[in-house]
Parts: sequence; C-alpha cells; structure tokens
Amino acid sequence: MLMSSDKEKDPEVIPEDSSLLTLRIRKKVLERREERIIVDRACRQETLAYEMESNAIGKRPDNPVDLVEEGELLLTLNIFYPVIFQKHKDHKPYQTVLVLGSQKLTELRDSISCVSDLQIGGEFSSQPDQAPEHISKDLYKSAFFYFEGIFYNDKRYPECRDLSRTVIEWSEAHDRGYGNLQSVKMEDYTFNDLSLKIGFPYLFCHQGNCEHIVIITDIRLIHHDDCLDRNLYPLLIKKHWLCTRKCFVCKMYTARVCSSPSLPYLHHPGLSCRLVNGFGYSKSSLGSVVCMLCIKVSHCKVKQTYLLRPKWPEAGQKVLDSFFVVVVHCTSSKGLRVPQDMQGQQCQVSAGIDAE
Amino acid sequence: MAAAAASSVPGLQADCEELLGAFQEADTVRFERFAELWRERRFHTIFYGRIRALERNKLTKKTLELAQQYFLPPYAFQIRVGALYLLYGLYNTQLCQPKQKIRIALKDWPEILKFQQDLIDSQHYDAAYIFRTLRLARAFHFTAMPKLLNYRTKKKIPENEFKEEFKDPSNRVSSLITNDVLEELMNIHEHYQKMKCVISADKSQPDKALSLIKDEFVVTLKDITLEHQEWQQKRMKLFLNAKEADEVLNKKEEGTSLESEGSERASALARIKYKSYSAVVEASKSRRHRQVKLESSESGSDRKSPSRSKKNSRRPHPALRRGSLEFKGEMHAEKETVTQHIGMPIITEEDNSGEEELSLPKRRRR
Repeated sequence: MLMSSDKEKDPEVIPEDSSLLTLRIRKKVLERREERIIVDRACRQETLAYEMESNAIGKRPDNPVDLVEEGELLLTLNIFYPVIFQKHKDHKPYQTVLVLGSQKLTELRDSISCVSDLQIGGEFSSQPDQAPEHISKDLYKSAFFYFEGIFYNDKRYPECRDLSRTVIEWSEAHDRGYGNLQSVKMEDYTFNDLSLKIGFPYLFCHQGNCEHIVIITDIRLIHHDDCLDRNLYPLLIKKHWLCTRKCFVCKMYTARVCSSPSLPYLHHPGLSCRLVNGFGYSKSSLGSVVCMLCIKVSHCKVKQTYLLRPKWPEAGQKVLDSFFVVVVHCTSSKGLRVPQDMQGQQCQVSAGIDAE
Repeated sequence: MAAAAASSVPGLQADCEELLGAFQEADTVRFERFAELWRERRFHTIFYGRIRALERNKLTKKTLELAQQYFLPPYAFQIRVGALYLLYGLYNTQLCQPKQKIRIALKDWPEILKFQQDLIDSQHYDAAYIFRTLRLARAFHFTAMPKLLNYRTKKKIPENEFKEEFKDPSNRVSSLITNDVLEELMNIHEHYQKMKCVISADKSQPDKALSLIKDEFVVTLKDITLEHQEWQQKRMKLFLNAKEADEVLNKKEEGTSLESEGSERASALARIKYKSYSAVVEASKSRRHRQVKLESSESGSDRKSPSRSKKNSRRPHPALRRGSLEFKGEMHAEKETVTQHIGMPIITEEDNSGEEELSLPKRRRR
C-alpha cells in the first residue's frame, strides 16, 4: 500500500509532530483528560449501542432460500415511542429498525414492541396470581400505518377493525383540506410499493390510541457487508436506553413491583422484583404500614419484625431461616414501638411468614 | 460516557482543504503526486488516537462524508480527481472493521459515471483505475440521499463553506448558451430567413417590411458569450493575484487593493440607491395594519442577481439601469468582505469611463 508508512504502527498513539490539525486538536483533548485524570471508559449504554449496531453485520443465513438478493432495498426507520410531552421535552426517544424493501408492512408491525401491547386490562390487585395471561396485544389486534395519505390497516384477523375510519370520516365531513384519504389493507403491500419521503413523519397507530411517529431516515441498496439473512429483518439496531431500577432486596434483578407507601426515611418507593405475599404486599392490613423493607409488624410484644436482606426465600421456606433481620424502623397505626436499643441489631423474627 | 461527537470533526475540513489545495497547486492529476503529498502529511494517521469502536465508526463516516463532497460538481476537475484519491486513501487506511462505506446519492451517480468517462477519454488512466478499484472493493453505498439524516435540534450544523478556489467558476452564461443551443438558433434563424423569402415578392431576399430582427444576432450572441468567458477568467486571475498580494500586505490595505475605479462609482451609486430605498413612507393611522416594510436587496441573494441582470441586459432600458445599479451595489458590498462571487460584466448604456475592464462596445438596442 502506498499509503501507510511503517513508522507508526500503533493506532492508539497520536504521532508527536503531526501536521494535521485534526490530530493536534484530538491530542489536546486527550492531554486535557490526562491532566484532569478523567477516565474515559465505555459505559453500558455505549456498549449496548455498539453491540446492537454491529451485531448483525455480515450474517449469512443457513438456508440459502433466506438469502437477501442483490438489488434489494434497505430502509432505515426511526420508530418513536409514544410521546409524553413533559418527559420528552429535550429529545424524543426512538428505536431504529432496518427493513427490507420486499418485506410486507405487517412484518414491521409485528416487530414493533410497545409497552401498551403488554398491558392487561382489569383490576387484579387482590389476586395478582390470577391475572389473565393474555395481554392487550392478543386482544386488540387492529393497527394501521399512515403513509402519504393512505391508511394501511391490519386486516389479517377477523377481529381487526378499521381504526382509520374515524379519521377518514372526519376529514370527509367538511372540507378540511386534507385531500383524499384512502384506506387499504396492510398485508397487501410491501415497502417497495410505497412512495415515501425521507425525513417526513408518518404514523403507526395501534391499541386504538397508541400512536408512534415513524420516520424514514435512509434508503439504500443492500450491500455485501450487510446482514443477508432475511429472517432477521426487521432488524433492531438501536434502542432507547431505559433506566432501570434494581430490586431493593436482591439487588440483582430489575424491579417490577413497586409498593407504597414506603418507610418514611427512605427516598424511593419500595421496589422489588417479585410479589411475595407478606413482603410489601398484603391485602390485609394489620394496621401496619406495609412496605418492602419491613415485614408487617408481628404481634409479638417484645420483638418486632423487620426485614432487610438480599436473599429471597425459597418457596415454602420459612422466613426465619433465610433472613437475618435488622431492626430498622417501623411504624404502624397500632402504635407498636421499636425499642431504641434494638435498632440496628440483629434479632429474631418471632412470627414466621411463609414465602410464596 | 464518551463525549458526544460534534456534528463535524474539528479540524478535518482544514486538513482536507490543505491537502487538496496542495494537490491543486501541483497542477497535475497524477496519483503519484497525490501519494507523495499524502505521505508527506502522513494523512493515514488522521484516524489515530484512542478512539473506541462506536466513536470511530461515527468519525470515519463523517470523514468519508466530508471527502465525498469534494468529489461532486461544482468543483473543478482537478479537485474532483484529488477527492477521488483522497477517498481512496481514507477508505483504505480506515481502522474500522468492517470498513465504513462511501455514500453516493442516486442523483449524483450519473455525474460520477460521466466523470469516469471523462477520465478515460482524457487518458487519466490512473484515476480511472483508482475508481474502478474502489468499485470492485465495494466501497460505495448507493443511497437515496447524500447525507444520513440525524436529528440535532440543539446544535447548529455549521454551513460548510468551501474554498472558492476549488470551485469551477460558475459560468451560467456559457451553460445556457451552449454550442448546441447556438447551432439550433442558427438553424431556426436560417429557416426563418428562408420562410421570409418564400412569402416575399422578391424570392431572393425578404421584404423590407419583414426585417424585424438583427440578421447577425446568433453570431453576436456567440461573441458575447466568448467575451464573457474571457472576462471571467481574467477576473478570476485578478482575484487570485489580489488575494496573494493581500496575504503579504497588511490587512488594512485589503479593501483598497481590491477596489478598482469601477467599484468606487458602484459604491457611490449604492449609497444613492440606499438613501432612496431606505426612505419608507409611514402609512397613515387608518392603514397602520399595512405598514410598508423595508426589505434589503443585499440580503444574501447571490444567485438572484446574475440572472436578474442577465435578463435585464436583454430587455430594453428602464429595467436595465436599475438592475445594473443594484448589482453593482451588491458587488461592492461583497468585495468589502470576501469576494465570494464573481460579478458579471455589465453591458451598460452609460458612460463607461469608469469601467476599465469592461471594454464592450456599445450596442444599438431596439
């Protein structure tokens, strides 16, 4: 290669006497970082972003039938999360999906994961285990895309309704200047059939009122170095980083249950990864403040029960065995008090509570 | 977390322009020369520094995007060849694995193919070979739009102001009055003459009553176009010389060394015009919702003026005078900063004593 010289072998080191302005600037930044002892490491977000981006590069399918053909178009779509204006003032979070031109719109629709699809309708707090398994995604299957004046409705199942009918009727009611809006079936169209604008916001609506803005950022021909496995498309390459909170008890899993009210001196609500009857979740109140960190107060007059330690008990195991408990603080409406000298000390739990 | 990448790589444009400028000065399109310049600057180290993978991908993408812009018109031929070599060098010395690709938009592709054909026709085989190598190495992404969309509402994306010297002087007159156009005009003109003869009493020449146009106008048009081109080239040389001289002289003298007598007059005219146009009549109270607003004609309408004065120069006087005045004013205003734009010669009916460079003969206008 004519280009590379043999002197600098290490791409990590910026050469001392460079005539390039870019390198001088970069060097200054690095030096400033060293001066101030700023450590620059890859954080979780960066690692995730890089992994997602480069995960599928160069993949080939096992079955040659699934190979993407030459001349296929590759579209890059940004699908935004439903906007909460208060929270999303500075930026609107989105996920980026790669889609092939010959794929149907329904394939994209199936690949969009939204939290509103996972919701369960109804009130089940008294019997959390008996909550039905089916989620909203299975119940309410209607959805539509809106591209360039045409609504593409999902009509694959008999229970799918035409959600766009309302909009079309509204626009036709008076002369609102929206031109001719049409409604067609989503499953009949592929991306190659559409005429699209790059950077123009389009709409995806499902669950009746959950709306996602869809923007196409790039259209290009498929390339040898791309992922050529058709089954992997639509391919998610970028996801918005959601901050998750860990369960306060085990500090390992992500919290999924939030119980309130929590102990007054704690700043955060009681988070745990699972519901355990008696641990922060009790339908019966013994007049006690129920919280994550504190078992409901026992009736023992001398020793009160408290809890805080990182191990979840096995099913059937009595609490006594798996926890050592620390007296923290406890309030209850019954006025049971914690003796001062007991605070912070290990003590016995007098009333065992079965783990679920 | 790594620092968010700026919307452009700092210092990169300066480095690329420096390299391309040196290549332009070398006045050759040979790859060996470019490679020497590249090695002198050790340009391949531009990707060095402790950069992690994610950041490095972004950086390389931006570098290739910047270099790719020089590859397309309206840049001069030599710059475009230099950009091709630059792209080749950057593509091959990048540290990303797998390599980042060069984005070419659909609309630019025919021009690039034409460029390749030009290279082959003018026997610059090394450049043609380099291009072919890039294509075989699958270095291109064929995209719909040249720039990948990103959403940075907060940061201002700086307007890329490329060096004027790199660009081919935009020759709108000769792009309009091409050889084809002239030929066709000639044909139509002859046909017209023949038709006139046919319907006239005397078959050998048209009636006097039918002579409504100048017979020689096609030739005249061609002459005007050629003169314009020559003028433009002279102007460009003058500008370059003046610019070199400027760099040697004191900065204070910049304004005077560039000004010629013509623009002194232009400034005087501009002043008069400004005074007259800036007087805005206050609307009466009953019409206060329709206040007259003063719009400046000097606000960045670079592109409008040449066509405007060109149109004006074809039409009879009243519009012409105003057009030339406005244009001169603009010309002057721009000269005082950096002349970004080469003014057109103005065919005026006025006394040309001030305009030394414009030695166009007066023409009778109908």
